[in-house]
Amino acid sequence: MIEIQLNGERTEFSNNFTIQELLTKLSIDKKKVAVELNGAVVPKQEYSFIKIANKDVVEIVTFIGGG
Amino acid sequence: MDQFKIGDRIFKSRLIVGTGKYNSLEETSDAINSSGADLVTVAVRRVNITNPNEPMLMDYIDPKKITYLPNTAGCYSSDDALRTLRLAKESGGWNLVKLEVLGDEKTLYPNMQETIKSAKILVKEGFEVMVYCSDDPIACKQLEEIGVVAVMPLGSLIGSGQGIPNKINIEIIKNQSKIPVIVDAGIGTASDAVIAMEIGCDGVLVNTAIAKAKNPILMAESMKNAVIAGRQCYLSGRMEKKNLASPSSPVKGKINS
Repeated sequence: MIEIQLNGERTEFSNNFTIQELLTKLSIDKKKVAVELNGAVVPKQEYSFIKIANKDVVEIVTFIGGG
Repeated sequence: MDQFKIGDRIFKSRLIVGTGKYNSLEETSDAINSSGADLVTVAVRRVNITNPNEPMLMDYIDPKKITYLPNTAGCYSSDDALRTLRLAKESGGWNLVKLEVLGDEKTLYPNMQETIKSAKILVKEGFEVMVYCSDDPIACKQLEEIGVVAVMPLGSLIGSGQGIPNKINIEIIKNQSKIPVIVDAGIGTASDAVIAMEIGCDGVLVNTAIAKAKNPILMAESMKNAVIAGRQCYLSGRMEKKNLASPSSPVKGKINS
């Protein structure tokens, strides 16, 4: 069991997985988002390599309407 | 050919439109189409994890057709602004961004010290930075020297619709700048946009004036026409002002002479 901070919410998952697997699990299209792991931007091409670990802080953002 | 060039990019429309405050994404999309804008500002925010099927802006406005200009609205420190724009770059894959670092929630006035600090770092990192700034000619000059691609002085406070009370400052900034000057914030109605363009500004950015009009789609078209009219007026060179009248019809050949 791992616990991560996902977009500000404490979230538990049963096992470790990659960023790509997290996006798939959440049904999020990677073309429309950017991911930050522990304060650093993760390049899209690394999503399938980088594993999320216990206590990680993950932010998934997209573009919304703004001035 | 009168081209609107920011950095190396050429845009068709001198009207830049914000995508905030609309009633729906459909309305946002319709208003943008009606405005003719090909550059729109967007904000960077957390994805709704609990409902990933929630419609996204990209489903309504195609970033391949309309250039997204990610902004740092809501950022009050250089660190927050930098973090936001680095994420935006990774999300969209382009480096044209709008930097705004705010100083205070009541006025949303730019914190120029933090803005200048952020601009320096972003330029070094290869961003093409358009900067929301105060209508201070010295601050605008400093930003130009740092290497930003456009300065965007406020006409008046964001969302206030107060127009351009100090158009003399905007004129000074325009006359000293070699990079595009775009009036950002404060435009409330079509004549405000015309004034900015008549002074010779390279463009205007409008959000609330369109989004909060009774009919946003029609107002978007009105702003489009205002920007075109103001630009044409500037390029034409207006007549000289005089204190007394000058008849429009010839005096010679009048029947009573």
